[in-house]
Amino acid sequence: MWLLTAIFSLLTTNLIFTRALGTSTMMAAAKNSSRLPVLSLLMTVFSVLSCLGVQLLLYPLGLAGMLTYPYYLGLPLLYVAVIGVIYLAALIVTRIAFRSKMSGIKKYIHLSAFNCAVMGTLYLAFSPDGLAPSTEHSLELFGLLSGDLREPMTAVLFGMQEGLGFLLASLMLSAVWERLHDAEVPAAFRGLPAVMVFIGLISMAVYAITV
Amino acid sequence: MDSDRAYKDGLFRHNAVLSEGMVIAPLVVCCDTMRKSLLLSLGFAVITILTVLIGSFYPKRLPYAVRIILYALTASALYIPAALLCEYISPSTYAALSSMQLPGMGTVPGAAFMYLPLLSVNSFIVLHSELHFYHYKRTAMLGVLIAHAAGFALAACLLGALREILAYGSIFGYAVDMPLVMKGLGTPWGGFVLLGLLAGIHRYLFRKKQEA
Repeated sequence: MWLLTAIFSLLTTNLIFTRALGTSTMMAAAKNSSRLPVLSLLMTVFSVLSCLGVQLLLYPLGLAGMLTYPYYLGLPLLYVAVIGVIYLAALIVTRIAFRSKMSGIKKYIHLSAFNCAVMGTLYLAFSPDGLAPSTEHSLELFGLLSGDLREPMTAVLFGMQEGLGFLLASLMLSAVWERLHDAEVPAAFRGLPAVMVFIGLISMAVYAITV
Repeated sequence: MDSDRAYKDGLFRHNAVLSEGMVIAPLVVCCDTMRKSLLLSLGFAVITILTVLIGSFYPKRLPYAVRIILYALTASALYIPAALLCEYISPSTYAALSSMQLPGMGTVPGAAFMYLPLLSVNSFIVLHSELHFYHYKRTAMLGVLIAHAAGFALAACLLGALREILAYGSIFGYAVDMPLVMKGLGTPWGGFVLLGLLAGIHRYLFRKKQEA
């Protein structure tokens, strides 16, 4: 029962199916099922660490004023700076710990760092005042319906939930990837067009179960 | 490289959205009317063209990872004038650009606020600047960039017009006599389905042309 609830929660709060965030990255991930776990894991790590980093900067270090008008126009600078630091740290750690596999892993780190999914997670977690509904701050997966994102642990859980949602969406797409590229699909719709229609249909189903 | 061919490819054959599947999220969520599509295209053009142009002056001796961070930071800084310009041109459309339909919540103002700033990390900037654009000389690169931005605008406007007619029964806010409107096409899932159909039509047309 818990598993069903968890999958339901991951679907209804899914960045890709409800907000289209990270679609291009997911398509890149689903092309090769062997690299899917690595990319999804890295995306989750980036989401968690960037949520934690921004939380620390906004609340304990007193930059929460950036969430108010007109300072929120500078939020992308803050978010990109945090992601950039984590990106560099990830490259350094990988270079030290996995020197022989560095060239293979580097491209995944690059793909996982700067994308709409990670930055979108930050925007959902730390939205400018008055610009997002508070119900968006839901952590259904962990049984916390309205977690306080000023708490570091809540920020970590939020990042983890979004990363796991990305993994679930990628798994669903990789399961049908071959079929969407099959010769039975009309040539004009084979590949990208079929993938987009497929995501649209899953998204419609998610809307239907949520309404 | 053949610049003329590259201009045409950027606009039509290798259209960033319809052919390559890039920058999908803002289109799927925000482009449900023509006005919003035009404003988003303007924001995309300002952020992307200026960032790639400024980025071409960054020293190549800097490590790749540092250059990518600098490109994203430049784009984030350019988002501020781009947002102010969009708001100055049409305050009502700028405000509408921030609203979206969420499951179980209807149209929520401010829920799509993030899509314009998210253009700071679009794949033109963090991926294709190094892979594609910086292989050209600067003047040719500017032309190719403008062609790609026009290609994005073309896809955005096609999608926006189609969704506005089918979902709201209007175009540019003027009512169109439609026997049936499908409001669901204004949601992200409607955006995905229609964008997929447009991508299929795009591929069909260019396949025919290639065969001819």
